[in-house]
Parts: sequence; C-alpha cells; structure tokens
Amino acid sequence: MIDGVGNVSSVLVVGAANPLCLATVDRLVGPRLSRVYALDSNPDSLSRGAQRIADFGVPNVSQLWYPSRDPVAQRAAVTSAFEESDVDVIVIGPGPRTDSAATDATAIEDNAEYLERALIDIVNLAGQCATSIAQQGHGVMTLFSHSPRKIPANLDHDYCAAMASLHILAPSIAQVTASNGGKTICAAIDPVRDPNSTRDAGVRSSAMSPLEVASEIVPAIVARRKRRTFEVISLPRSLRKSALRIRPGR
Amino acid sequence: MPSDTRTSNTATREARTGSHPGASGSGTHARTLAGIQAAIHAAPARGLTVDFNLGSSLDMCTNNGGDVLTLAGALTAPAVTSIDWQKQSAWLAAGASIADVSRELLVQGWALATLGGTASSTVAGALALDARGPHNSEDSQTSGLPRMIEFVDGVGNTRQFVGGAADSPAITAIVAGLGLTGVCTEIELPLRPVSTGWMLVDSRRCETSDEVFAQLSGGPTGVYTMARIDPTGRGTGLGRGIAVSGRFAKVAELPEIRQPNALEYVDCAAGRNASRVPLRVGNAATRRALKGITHRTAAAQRRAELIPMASFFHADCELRAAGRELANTITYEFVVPVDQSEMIPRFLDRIGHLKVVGQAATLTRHAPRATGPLGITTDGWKLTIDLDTDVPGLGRVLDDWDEKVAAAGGQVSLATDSRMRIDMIAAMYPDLAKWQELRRYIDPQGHFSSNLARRLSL
Repeated sequence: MIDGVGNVSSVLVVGAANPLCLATVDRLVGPRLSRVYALDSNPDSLSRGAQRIADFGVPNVSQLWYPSRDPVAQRAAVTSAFEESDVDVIVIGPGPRTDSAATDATAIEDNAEYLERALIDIVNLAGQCATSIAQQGHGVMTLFSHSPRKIPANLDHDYCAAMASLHILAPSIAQVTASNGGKTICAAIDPVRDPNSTRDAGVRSSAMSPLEVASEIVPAIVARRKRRTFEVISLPRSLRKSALRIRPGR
Repeated sequence: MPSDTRTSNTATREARTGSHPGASGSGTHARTLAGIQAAIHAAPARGLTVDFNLGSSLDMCTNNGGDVLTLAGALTAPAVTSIDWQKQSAWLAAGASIADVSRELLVQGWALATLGGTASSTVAGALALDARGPHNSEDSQTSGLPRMIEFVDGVGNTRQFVGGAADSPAITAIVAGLGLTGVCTEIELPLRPVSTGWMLVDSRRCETSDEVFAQLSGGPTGVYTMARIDPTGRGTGLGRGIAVSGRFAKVAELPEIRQPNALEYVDCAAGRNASRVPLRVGNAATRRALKGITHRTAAAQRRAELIPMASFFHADCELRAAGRELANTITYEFVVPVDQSEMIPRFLDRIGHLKVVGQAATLTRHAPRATGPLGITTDGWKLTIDLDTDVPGLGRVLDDWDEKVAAAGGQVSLATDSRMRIDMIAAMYPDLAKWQELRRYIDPQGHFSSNLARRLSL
C-alpha cells in the first residue's frame, strides 16, 4: 500500500499505449516502485508501453495482454495481477487511435470497433479493478476522462465520446472502490486541452502535455487525506496557465 | 460456533470500518476465549489483526482487506482481576485500557511499574508496542515486563508463558511482537506502590542540545525524565527544549484540598483538547513560528508543579496520536547509541532545511531492557517526532536517515513505522529471523497479519 510519505510500490496500468497513463507512471516512479503491470489489448502497444515504463526505471514490468470484447479474459488478466501482489495504484485511460489507423488496413479503424475497445473494454476493466480494490481493502483508482461539453469538429469524436462516458460512469466505479477502503480520482480534462484528442498539430499546441496532466493528479493520488473517497480534478486548473499556451495569432 | 462471536460468517457483525481509504479492515468482536478461537478459525485470507485501541493511523493496527479483532466483555472488564501484594504484581484483562487499569489500581495504592503510550491503548497494545514513557534510572532489565501471560496462538490453542527473565518465552513472544504472534487474554504485570496519583514535576528550559542531554543524564534516582524538544531551533539552538523530571508525590506534598482524593485517577485530556484546536494552522512558516513561541514563552524553570500521572506519562503520546488522526502526520522514532548523541541535533537540522515542521518531539534516555526480537535494544537516546507529510523529499531524507541510524548501531522503531525500507530491518534487528521462526511455530498458517507485516514482509 502507499506508505506514510507517499511512496507507491506497485501500479497497474490499463491502456499501456496512452501517453497520459505513461506520464502518470513516470511521475509515480520512486524508490519503492518495484512493479508495474501493463495491460493492453494491442500487443504492439503493450510491448512499447512496457518498454517505456521499464525505461522510467521500474525494475519489474509485467505485460498482460487481454483480448478485446472478452470480459472473462479481461477479468482473468486483472485478477492475475492482484493475485501476485497488492496493487497500490491503478491508472486507466482509453488509448487514443493508433498512428497506423489511417494507413494500415489491419489496424482498428472502424468507429464501432474503436468504441468497443476504448469504452466497453475500459469500463469493464475499470469495474473489475474496482472490485479487486474493494477485496484488497486499499488502493487508488485513477481514471482519465473528459468533462462533457460540446467539442469542436477537429477533435476525435469517438475518443471524446469514450472519455465523456467514462466521466459519467466514474461515480459508479468510485462507489464500488469506496465500499472497502479504496479511493477514486477522476481527472476530467477539457477535451480541447487533452493531448490525445487530436493529431492536428495546430490544436495540439494548445493542449496540456501528458506530464503536465500527470503532475496535477499525482499529488492527489499519494495524498494521505482519508475522508474523500472520490475526487474529480478538472484540468486545466488554471485558465491563465492554459491561456498562455494558446498562440496569440489564433 | 459460540454465540458470543461476531464473525464474517454471522449476520451480527458489529463494526464495519472499511468505507474510506485507510480503513483498518472489517471488525469482529470477541467477548470470551471461545470467541477469540472462533475469530481465528474464521480469519480471512488477508488475516486478522488485534485492535489495541491505538487509532487507525498506525500500520501495525490496521489490516486493509482483512479482519480486525476487538476484545470486549469479559476480556476487558474487570480491568484488574487480582493483585498479589507479596509479589507486587496484578493479573490484568488484556483488552482493558491502560486508563481503566490505572484507575482501578490507583484506588488501592498501586500503579503499573512502567507507564507509556496512550492511556486509551489496551494493556496488550502497550506490550505489543513495548511502549515506555519517561526514563527512570531505577528501572532494571525486567521492570515493567510481564511475569506471566495467557494467550491464544494462531492455531487457536490457549498457551501460558512465563515471563520475568530477559529471555523468557512471554517476553520473546509478546513484548514488541506487534500483535502478530497471538491474542493476549490475561497478563500479569509488576506494580509499584504509590501514595497519590499526582506527579511533582520540575521543568527547565534548555537553550542548547548539550544542556538537554546534561539534564537528562544527571537526574537523581527514582525520578522520571524526558525532554520536549523544539524542532524549530536553529544554529546553537538546535535540539533546544524543555527538560522535565517528575516523581510520584506523597500525600503530604499535595494541597490540603486534594489530599482526600489523592488516589483519584485524573484522565489525560491532551488528546481530547488536541481535537478541539486546528493542528494544521496556516502554512509551514506559521507553524514553525508558533512552535518557536511555545518554547520561548515557557518559564525558564518551574519547580514542584503538580500534574496528574496520566498527563505526565501519556500526554505526549496522546498528542502524537491525535496528530496522526487529525493532521495525517507520521511518527518517526529512532534510538542512537549514547556516544552518538550529536546525531539528534543533526537530524533536526536536516529536517529543518527541508522545511518540515516537526510536532510533539520528545527526547528520552533509552536504557537497555529485555524486549522481544523486534523491540529496541539499543542503549542510547530516543527521539520521537511527528512530521508533516506534505513536504516533497521527506521520504528520501528519512530513507537516508534510516541508513545513518543503522550504520551508527541505532534502531528505528517498527511500532510507529509507516515507511521503512524492507532491507533496513535486517540491519537494525538482527534477531528478525529468530522472531520469524517463533512466529511460524506459534502461527503456522499466518492468521495474524497487518498492513505493517505485509509492507515489511514480516
């Protein structure tokens, strides 16, 4: 469990390809972080994500592949991580569309398929993680989501829909987590400021960097406050900071 | 299953405390010996820990995902079963609080030979922590230690262990055992005769650490000594504090109005009062300034001040417990050998540079006394300090300090630990393997567990 001074010893990452999840692990790395479980449905993303995590300096990185649209196998993947050792922090975020989606015919480019992967699978895994936290009696669940709002046309609508849905479902997931000692932190990112929302370079320049997002939520993850079992952190916190990122010409 | 037991298999579970992070686990109450045995047999996979009434902030007393066994009924009352006037000892209910025991003993002119920890903790809890209060130079190797204990082991068998000697089974198994070896039901503890429940206390403000060490070293025999350190001291004032020495008052030394009630037990209100004032006033600078004012405005010297024994022995621990509960501080306690006393001001300097505000810091002489393998055996100086945790880099500094303490031949207390590295334990506690072997013998299935045991792989 997270110790008295906020040291984390093990982390489970659902969505190993998500830069937000990876940045959060990067910020959680400390002298006690000895094990990270990386979960993803895409074997390539999984191995790349696991390699990135190992590069952060984590000594043991376990890769757990789960098949998309198979809740039983997904449950088994989560359970296997919890059976091995206590998991202190779980980081969950729907992965953005892969770079190859536009050109590779075998990549997942169908909207329905993407939504199944980014929403149904993630919600199922989040529910399973919440149950495991409740059985374990401690743990912090971190969910990346979007504050629901109208979104501009140049953003990835399917990704934003998945993120907004996760935001709506977060209180229910938190209820399960809180039933026995768990805590949930939901990062509600402004869709326009989410670096995963688009690949349009112009829009991305005004987005928060993944490390910036992680820096905002990590203090809440390791905080010793006991009473709050569900916390929503709206990002960016400061409008001024956010405004500075927008180029004057736009 | 006995009707008095409330376990997860019955619908009569009394307390569920698992509704928030840091919850100590599900609650099970046992009122008799059979109740304890049933709770042990019904222990979940994540184990069972005994509730010593020490609050939910110590890792030793919490068991996330597991069960917490609270002793009740006949295991808590009457607090004192019998007093042996010849042997100067009493059989006590293990689940009774130190305050209840002291109240019942005091009426008959007795007090526990060693008093320490919080007044609300159970007798078994005080032993499991090896809680010691202010130092008394009269104390011997075995003073305050159990002469006999009755407890239920991990298999559910009732055992009786004899204490008294330094390496007796009762001491090895229970003292500083962190509640991982069994559930005590009754304990025979040594007493000391007293004529009042009041202490005559002298205090002196010391402006340097050397002055503090001198005051604590040169006390007359039979007097309890300790120092309340001001952690905000800088430069030559590092380690400054108020040295306190006290002894039990005689009836004639009390004012006339108090003499008829000389043996009345006056509760320690420190913890209660602490919950009424904000412990996290302002920012670090404000807190540091307030701590400094407390030291500077203290009287240079006070003589023969009358203080209730509960306040004298338990107030500092009560304040620390309140700080842990209300302000989420952590307690860091370590002992360095006598000849390494300069490490104490060095430590205070180190945390001062980090801008950590230490609260309720106390320094005592830690004399060698028989204890269990996980107890502190170093003959030296013990510093106990509460630290705010919202300071970046505190973990690294404490890790570094653990190494320094171990290299100097000192020990960091496990009872209050919430962050130590696993590899440091073997360096500080050479008898760890012996204790683990004993634990495997007493609790082969590992029914007793806690957050501390899991974190440190005990």
